[in-house]
Amino acid sequence: MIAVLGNNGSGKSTFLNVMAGLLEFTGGYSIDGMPFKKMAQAESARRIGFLPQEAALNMPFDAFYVVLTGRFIHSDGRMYSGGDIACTEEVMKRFDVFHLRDRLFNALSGGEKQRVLLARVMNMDTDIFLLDEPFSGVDILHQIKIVDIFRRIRKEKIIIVVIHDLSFAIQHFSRFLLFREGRLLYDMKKDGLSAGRLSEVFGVRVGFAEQDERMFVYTEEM
Amino acid sequence: MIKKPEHGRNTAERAKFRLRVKLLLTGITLCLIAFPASSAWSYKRIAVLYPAVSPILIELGARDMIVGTTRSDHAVKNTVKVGSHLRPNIELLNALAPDLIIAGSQRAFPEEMKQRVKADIFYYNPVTLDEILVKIRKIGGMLGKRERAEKLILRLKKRLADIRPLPTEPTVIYEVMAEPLRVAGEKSIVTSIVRAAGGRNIVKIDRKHAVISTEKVLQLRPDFYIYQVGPMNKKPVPPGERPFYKSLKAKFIKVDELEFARPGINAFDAAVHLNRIFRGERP
Amino acid sequence: MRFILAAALALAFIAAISAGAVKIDLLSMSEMERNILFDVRLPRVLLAGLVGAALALSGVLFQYVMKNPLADSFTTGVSASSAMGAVTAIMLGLMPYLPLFALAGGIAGLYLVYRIASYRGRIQPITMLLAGIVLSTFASATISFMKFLSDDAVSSIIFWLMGGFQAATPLKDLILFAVICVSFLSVRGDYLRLDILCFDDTTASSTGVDVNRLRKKLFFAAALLTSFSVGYAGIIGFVGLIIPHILRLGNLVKASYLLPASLAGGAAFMMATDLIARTILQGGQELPVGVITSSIGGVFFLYLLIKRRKELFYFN
Repeated sequence: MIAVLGNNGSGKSTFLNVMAGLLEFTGGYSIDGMPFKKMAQAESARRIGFLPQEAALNMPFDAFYVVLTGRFIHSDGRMYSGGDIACTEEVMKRFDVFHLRDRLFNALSGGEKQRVLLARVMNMDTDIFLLDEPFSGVDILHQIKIVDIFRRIRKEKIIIVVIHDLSFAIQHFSRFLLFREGRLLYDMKKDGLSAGRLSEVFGVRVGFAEQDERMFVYTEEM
Repeated sequence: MIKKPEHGRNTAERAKFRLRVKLLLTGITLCLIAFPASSAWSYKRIAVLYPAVSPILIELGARDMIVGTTRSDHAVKNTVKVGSHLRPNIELLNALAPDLIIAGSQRAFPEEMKQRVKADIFYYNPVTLDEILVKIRKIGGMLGKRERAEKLILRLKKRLADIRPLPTEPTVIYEVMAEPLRVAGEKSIVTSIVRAAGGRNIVKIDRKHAVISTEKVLQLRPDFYIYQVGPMNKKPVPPGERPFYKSLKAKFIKVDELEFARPGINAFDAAVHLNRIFRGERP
Repeated sequence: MRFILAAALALAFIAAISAGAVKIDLLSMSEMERNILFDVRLPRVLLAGLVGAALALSGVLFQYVMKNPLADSFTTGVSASSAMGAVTAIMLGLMPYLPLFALAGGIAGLYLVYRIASYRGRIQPITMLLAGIVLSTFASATISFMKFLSDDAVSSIIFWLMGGFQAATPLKDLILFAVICVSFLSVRGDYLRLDILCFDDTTASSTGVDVNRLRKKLFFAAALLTSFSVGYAGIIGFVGLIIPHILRLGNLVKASYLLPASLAGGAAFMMATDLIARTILQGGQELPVGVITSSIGGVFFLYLLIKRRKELFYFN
């Protein structure tokens, strides 16, 4: 579980977009020894599940079908199989959105939409998940539930998440990518984090507090 | 025929109209007193907004009186072209200072336009061959060419003497336009031409043109299917080659739009020409 | 829903076949009646149905390409630019190549609107509509100008502006049928992709859909359908807009239902409107079919808009 941290416009989303192959880039990277640039789109979609910051839907689909479309790469391209439908039901139950299945997606509230879309991406069942602010608009109860699901699958999957809540990130994530002004400034484990480094990244003075082996982050007045 | 105003729509207009009539009557009376030989007066500057009229004027020896024509009028050259017959340019028209404007119909030259020109308006809209003759007589009178008009009328009547009786009365459909199929109705001069030639237009619709179904054509089973070629029907597929007319037993006859569809001197020749076709002669 | 559509299609076909300017007793036909039925009415009913199907399908495809429920061959200006191409062919005396000219005009117009309306890979709905309207107006003006140049009334040009099925022949039916088959089969395997295309481009392409390629394909198929329809029946508005809308309001929102349903719905609608156009007046007279499509379609559409605003609202 990797958290991507940084201010607005620091290049977090661009980084995710590049990783997902949605933007042109120089250089290269490999997945399982296979250069990403050589992958066809279908292949990369099979490897990487991507949740963009803003998603829009242009057709009155119900929530179930929205989640089902995540199975596209696993389908034959013409029809979703019974297995796809079973997976969809399962993932919707896991993300606590199964009761919304017959509602029109566009009629859902912002947080519900976000959870449905998250379920949709997880339904892609890829090795890598790139999630751009998956928690925005989601209530605390469901944030905890979602992180819990992430924690259970972290052995098999790489989950890269853009997040703004520092305390939440430090509490649940193990590796951190810190971006500032379009550059990756630090790539470190939890123990590498310090008040000084975080202050450098965010441009505000950040303080740490520790209680019962839990870390809390607070900002000092400017 | 001088201005023949329509009934006013409201009392104010009617009052205005009455006043105008009074003024007009006074004017006429004054004129009659001032020029006892007023019958010698006639129109001198004529704008022709309906091309079929020009040949008549030429026949009457009034070629020099024509000061303006429409741009599709090919009978008269070297006159000012004042636009199309549906949309004449009023400025150009006024600049010619005509004392008479000959227009095709009330629709082509409506009341509203009449008020913007000083000239008198004469509507030339005959629907039958007889009406053409009547109109020729009237124009002759207006231009002081009465004698020549009578001569022309006589000549045209004689022209019709060439028409010979037919053993049976052939039925006719006249195609004005191929797509969508538009045929001549009862108010078209074509109907009169066909009748004069001894035939019968079997389209019984009380209009000049009617858009009808091709099914109807098959049902009516005309003896002759006449299709015109001209501005209205530029390059029609010959009816014999149209798949939906495969079973139509009619004789397909191609005619020139300018000769058939315009109610002028040409209509009399057209009738004779058509009579020959009906008799099976090669024209 | 499937049953209703099939019934509507069958009903429209039977009604269109059995009524017309001439009364025909289908059970005991005379020689003449048989000729009328097979030479005139059947080709015409088929052409109406095929054009309706083609326009409705092209409307749906345009709506996927443009991500906009207001897109169709009319609002994108493709009809008008196709007609412009067709009229150019008439002017140059190249009648046999008319469908080609219509196609070229249609694709050029569509490309123009698409380029103007797309910004950073997204189609801006308002810009698209504006560009489409401007293109339509421009193309109509050009047609009027050509009409003016050639003569006051050139029948074949007027025909393009009014639309109609009178010139139906079995050959045209066959060609249009082939065009519809080709277009439909080429997108038939893409139902799931079409649904995913309804998401934003980022979501769609990260889900594994080659958005650009798919869009180009839809583009071409829609332009092909429109051009041939315009080439054979002139500009007929509204069908591509209202048929898919009505079907969506009838809860056919997935491409796998919507596309086949559009074909059937468009065909039924057009056969019915043409039937009205050719039977409403007496003595075998006809109305231009566009008058009927626009009035009936418009009123019905208005009813739906008022009655079911909520669903439409959730479209976007």
